[in-house]
Amino acid sequence: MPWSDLRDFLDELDRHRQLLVIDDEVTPEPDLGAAGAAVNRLGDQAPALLFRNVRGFNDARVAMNVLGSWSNHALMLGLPKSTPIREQFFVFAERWQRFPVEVERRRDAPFQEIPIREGINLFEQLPVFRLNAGDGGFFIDKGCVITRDPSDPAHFGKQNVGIYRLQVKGRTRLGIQVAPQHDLARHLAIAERTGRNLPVAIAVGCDPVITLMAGTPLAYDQSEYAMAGAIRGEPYPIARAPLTGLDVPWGAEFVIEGEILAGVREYEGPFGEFTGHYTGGRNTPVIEVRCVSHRQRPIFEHLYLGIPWTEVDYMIGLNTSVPLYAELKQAYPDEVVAVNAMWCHGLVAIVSLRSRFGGFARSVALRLMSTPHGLGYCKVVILVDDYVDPFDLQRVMWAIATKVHPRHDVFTIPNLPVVSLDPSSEPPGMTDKLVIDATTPVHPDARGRFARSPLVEPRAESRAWEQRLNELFARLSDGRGPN
Amino acid sequence: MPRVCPRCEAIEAQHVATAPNAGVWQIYICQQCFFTWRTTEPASVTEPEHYPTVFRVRQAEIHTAGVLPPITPPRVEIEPFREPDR
Repeated sequence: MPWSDLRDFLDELDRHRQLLVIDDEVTPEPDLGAAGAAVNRLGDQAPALLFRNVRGFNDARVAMNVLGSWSNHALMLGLPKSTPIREQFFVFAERWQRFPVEVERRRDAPFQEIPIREGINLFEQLPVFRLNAGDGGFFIDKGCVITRDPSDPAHFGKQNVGIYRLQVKGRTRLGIQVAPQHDLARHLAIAERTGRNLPVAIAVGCDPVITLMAGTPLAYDQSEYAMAGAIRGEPYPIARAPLTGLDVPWGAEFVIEGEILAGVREYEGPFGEFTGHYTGGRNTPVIEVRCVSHRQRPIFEHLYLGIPWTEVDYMIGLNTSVPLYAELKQAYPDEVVAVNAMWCHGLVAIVSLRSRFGGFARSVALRLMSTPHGLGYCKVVILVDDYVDPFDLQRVMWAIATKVHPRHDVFTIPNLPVVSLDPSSEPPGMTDKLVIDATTPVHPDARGRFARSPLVEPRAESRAWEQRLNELFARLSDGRGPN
Repeated sequence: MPRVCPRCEAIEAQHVATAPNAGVWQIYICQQCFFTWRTTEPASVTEPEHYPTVFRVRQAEIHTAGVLPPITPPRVEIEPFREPDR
């Protein structure tokens, strides 16, 4: 891939006419949040946005919707921008298997151009703004947050890169939301047990691959940088952050460093989240910022979140589906065909599989729910036969319509964990989970009348006809006539 | 000079920023509930009487809100059971 930073990727988007540059003056509120919501209404081929004139800031640049369409997601993978989702899934899954790819350490990080240790004011040095009207403040919501395991600081894989929402709560103060399931919560718990603060670096405005990996569920000791190398097909470039020595993306626009204060929690939120609902009003950890470094004319990248689909849904669609698929494939390589877990980070997941014997499919659903990511998600699991493409919702609904007998094929499991941001969880973080088995029963399960109701399969000649009709229709659309 | 917080109505909002370009806006932050606003935002954000009811915060709620994640107490008193070394 030709890019190592956000700027190179924006140039790539520009080459493919997937970047809208807006030089007219815009207001921090309401323009930036309003535009971030509006661009999603342009459909799943929408462009990224780059604002270069934000009222009240000197020369601020704000990028939004960088990964906010399947076109931009395909370009991020180095594929043609018209690549269908299903094909992007299988390319992603194939590269996933190349993990780990060694990182490339570089010294000349451009974020070292402007170091600030005295006179830090996050409100003035970053063009932060209120995204949605009900947000309790100004958030940094697309930063890669980097920490190490304090009990094993030399372990590169246990160094975590994750996306956590950060509320700017003072000139040098940030609130951070961390769920107990997250790797950062483990790091913080170890630090607090010994009464020490936890050093942290936040990289804002990174190339899209590491941002994607930061939002991808990886095992605790798997490095996001090593997986970024696998996905991009070459070593991922990192640099050492000047204050903390943490490894940060070499091309970051901003690097903010400081410490998460041990034993401190402060009121945070609300914030419009990826569930399409506001969450917050809880006491969360606090970061004291001690150093800000940034490039000349830095680009501040922001993520829009709202009722799906928005940019966050493109961002956490396939990167949630692929690790769940990889985990199921380890156990059932010949049976599992594909996983589509694109709804709210996998709160709903569809698994396409070959059911070998009666009860097989629903057992796979239980396996999915007990994967590390499934523990906090996979609230509704839909199982379909191997000939049903889980990315084709018309087919999935057909399977539910015709394969499901509600007395036998729908069941719930009580009192399982779920991400506390799920507004239906009661108490927050607890839920029942649902399995809808829309596969065809196989021996010895003989329910229904499927043996006497075979599938209506198209005639073999139908493929050739599809091609012929496509060509004729293309001629018709071009105005050339059918002949 | 402290201002009234539009959200929790504490008289503890502090001025924290001025627009770098021509000072066209100011930013205030409440020291109780950390609500933050820019002076150029609409009255539904900046003025207590117009602030939406659904997002209001009572000061008691600030202290009784859930803690996420829970604070880990320093030191562990009981040695955890470990698997034998192989």
